[in-house]
Amino acid sequence: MRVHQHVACEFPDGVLIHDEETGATHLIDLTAWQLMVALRASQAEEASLPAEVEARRHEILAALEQVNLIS
Amino acid sequence: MLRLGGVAAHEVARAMVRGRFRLQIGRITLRIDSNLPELEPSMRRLYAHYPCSVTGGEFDFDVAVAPPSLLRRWFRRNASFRLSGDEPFLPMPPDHAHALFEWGANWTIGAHSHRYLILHSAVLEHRGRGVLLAATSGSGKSTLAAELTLSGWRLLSDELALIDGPELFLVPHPRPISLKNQSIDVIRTRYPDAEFGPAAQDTHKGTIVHLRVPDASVDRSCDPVPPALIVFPKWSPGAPLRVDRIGPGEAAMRLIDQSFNYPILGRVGFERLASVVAAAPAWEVEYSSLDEIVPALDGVLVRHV
Repeated sequence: MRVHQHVACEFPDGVLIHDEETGATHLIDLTAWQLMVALRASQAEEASLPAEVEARRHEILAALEQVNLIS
Repeated sequence: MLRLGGVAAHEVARAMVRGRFRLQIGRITLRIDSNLPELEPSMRRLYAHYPCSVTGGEFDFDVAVAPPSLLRRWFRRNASFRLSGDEPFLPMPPDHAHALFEWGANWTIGAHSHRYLILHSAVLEHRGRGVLLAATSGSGKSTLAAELTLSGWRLLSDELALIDGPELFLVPHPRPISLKNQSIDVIRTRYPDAEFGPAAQDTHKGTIVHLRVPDASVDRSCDPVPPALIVFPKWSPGAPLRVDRIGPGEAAMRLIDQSFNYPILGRVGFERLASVVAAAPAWEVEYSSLDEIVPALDGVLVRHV
């Protein structure tokens, strides 16, 4: 999976995501599908999210911000 | 093929002085120069079964263990490690020459062999499967590697996991196992016939002794093996045996902390690391008894790999 300058790999315990610009690697407790849904949601405030993602919306967006996927 | 143990001591010493000594360790050949009388006997003892040359030839790295100046050869003697003439470490007493060589060789390969993803990890093979023992200093990694090696597992490396790609292989680099302090007597007592090098006393890590690698592991030092199991061992005195599975993502994050060159390799390093944790399940093992952990690891290999 590739998003912006990031490469990622999904594992049962989360998505391992590597920022090619900074060289940093993080493990985010999400599935790849949840990550993509959350990314789309971050670009459109009104986007509706599946309940399981909506419940963790703030936590997920914070995780994406930490790895520079959103700002 | 010429092996170091088959060459007369004076020939090895002369080749080291004249820049003609080469030692082949797996895929890597070292040119080793030295005019220190302390180094040649320990090299001949610990590397007796390794291919060598005393007439020069190609090499990957040009290293030397020698006095830092002519004066230091006779007065207030000490020894420096050099890579292509550079001295990355402070000099040490001459009776630390062999330990200095081993530390210098680890640094040389870890800091320069970037065709591999390099992790600070012991690597062994058992039942045809590659096993990484990745751990921080003081976790008992080398003691466990020595125990497994002397129990018949093949040693690929005590310190450096060289991970080649894209087919994903653990490349052997079997060098003597570095044992520290109490571990020395533990292994000496359990294996009275094992061969050891000289003791380096009062180093920054305490007393260091190197254990000779069994010939069978040296004979197979050009045979890579795919990774099949990752173990994070932790020795805790008195602790009951605990064997817990950990997720591949968590294993990857721990391995990054133990990597020499992951940041240098960038995307290649990420993809290789992700492939390793995808191919090899990871386990955290806490133990206090070598008698318990060896069958426990064998059991994990049999049941889960």
